[in-house]
Amino acid sequence: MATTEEWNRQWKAFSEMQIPDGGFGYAPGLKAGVEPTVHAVLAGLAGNVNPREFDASLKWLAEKRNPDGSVPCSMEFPDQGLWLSAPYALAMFKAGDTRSALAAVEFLLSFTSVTVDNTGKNDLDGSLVGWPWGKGAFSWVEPTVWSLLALEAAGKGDHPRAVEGRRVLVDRQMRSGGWNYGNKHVYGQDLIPFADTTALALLALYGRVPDESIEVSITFLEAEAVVQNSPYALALSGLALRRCRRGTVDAVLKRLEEKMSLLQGERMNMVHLGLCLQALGKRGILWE
Amino acid sequence: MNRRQFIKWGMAAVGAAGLGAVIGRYWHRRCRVWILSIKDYQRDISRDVAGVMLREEIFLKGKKVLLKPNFVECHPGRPINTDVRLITQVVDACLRLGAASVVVGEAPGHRRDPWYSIYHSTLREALPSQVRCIDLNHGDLVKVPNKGWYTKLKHFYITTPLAEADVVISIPKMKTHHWMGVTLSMKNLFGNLPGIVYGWPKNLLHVQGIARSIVDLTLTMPPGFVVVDGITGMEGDGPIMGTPKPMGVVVMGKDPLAVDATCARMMGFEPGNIPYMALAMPHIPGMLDERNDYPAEHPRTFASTFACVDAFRPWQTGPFW
Repeated sequence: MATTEEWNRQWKAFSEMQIPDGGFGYAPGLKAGVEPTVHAVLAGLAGNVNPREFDASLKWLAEKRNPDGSVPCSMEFPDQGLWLSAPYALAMFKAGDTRSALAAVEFLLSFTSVTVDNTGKNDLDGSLVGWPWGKGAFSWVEPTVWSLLALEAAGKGDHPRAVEGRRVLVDRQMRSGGWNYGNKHVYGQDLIPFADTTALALLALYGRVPDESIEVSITFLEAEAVVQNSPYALALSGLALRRCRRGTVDAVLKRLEEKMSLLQGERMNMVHLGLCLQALGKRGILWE
Repeated sequence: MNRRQFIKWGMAAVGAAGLGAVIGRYWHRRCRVWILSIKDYQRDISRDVAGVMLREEIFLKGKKVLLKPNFVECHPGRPINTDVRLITQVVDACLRLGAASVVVGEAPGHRRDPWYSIYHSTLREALPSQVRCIDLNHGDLVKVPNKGWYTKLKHFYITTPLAEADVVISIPKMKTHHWMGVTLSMKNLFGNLPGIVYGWPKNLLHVQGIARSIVDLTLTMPPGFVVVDGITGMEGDGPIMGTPKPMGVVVMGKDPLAVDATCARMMGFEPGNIPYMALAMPHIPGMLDERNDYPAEHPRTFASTFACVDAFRPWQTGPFW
């Protein structure tokens, strides 16, 4: 884990990229967006930063809800990117804006993926309902994970939607233990599991499914994480291994600190940096 | 759908296809498809590419150019991506032609993590320092009206670097595709759209129908020029899980359907069997071989049937020349 001084230095650099309106863009020079601002708030909370430091971000976020509680990726286009309602709800709960968070959770409970008849082309249970990226679409790992984390934060981890959402994730687990984006096989071939999606799935499943059912997944992630060069994948892996209480997390976080220098210039992504700071912060804010 | 509806829609589809063929034969202008014999990636073809662009009246002086390769996922030994050496040669060609700026942009649909695609060190290190790599999956959004009508989408959303480009040059890989048969310049348009709106994969387009989405995208944001990496393609279970297919060609042109249909024939596929090509035929030129000119090499020289998943073998009715 990063020293307090090093974390504070990174946080200061991160904070300097805040836009005067209180939000953060996906990259310096861009307009404020919900996702980077959500991860800025979560990063601040993970590092036990004085809440006043991200008060403007919270105010900015509080204005970004649609009347039905949903949260788009940009208020210019209020019906787009509604999956962001989930990380938004999570961050607002953790930051104490219960009103905004509950409204987003209410939306999430009504936001369902479509079901499909299994065609035989892949091997998954198309009847299960999870969360989609947008209205009218199928369920995928990432939006389902963020929705499950939001429901946990809301104290609704036993809600039938949450129970079924976890079944979606378990159903999409590959033989290797890892996860792709939501498919396992196509035309009889196993797809390739990834560190980032596996880490996300573990964040939602750990403590909610029998340990033995995800042991192979944790082992897969431990092996994958230590060879990652991606700050994004390392940050998510670090968070998941910490959540799963694995000693290997130290090596992953050390590697993450080494690779954070890659986050500059054209390759700066504020969501990635926010996740890095969450991984290296004192609190496991996504689950505590 | 009952039997009567089935017959009604079936007759409508046959009628549309027939009308498309008539329009394609008598209405659309002729197209040129340039095929260069390039045996390996070592050869510098930037002058050749620049020369063809000039012949096609692609003038880049003072223009902001966005190169859109197919660069979606890095796995050693799998020819998934447009080769970085070809991308750098197209960059050189654009700079030779006086482009004010050149950026390489991609919104991978298979991976959210850009460090395994557009930020990958193999690409970054191969490009000149003044050429930026841009992750089109994340960023400020611009809404553009859908100029097609096959999907129910009224608009598409793109990120600003794409919206602000004067010229977009598509550099797809010649690959089989396990949903569409092939993936070439028109399917490459999926990588124009940001995942923060359309998801990973771009499932909101799949819901609309992949072929319908491809045609609407082509009508809305056609690439200004296409350079297909067919030096080593991918056959079998593409676009990710297939195997290398050495073809030794670069295929170029400013008409995406003409380039794609020609590549499909070279791969052994009847273009009329590829759903998005059949759908696009009435609207844009290039589908019919007899209406295409090949000023450089003729495609027959390189035609070689690609292995593909069983479902698409009936679509391979070549050879065509």
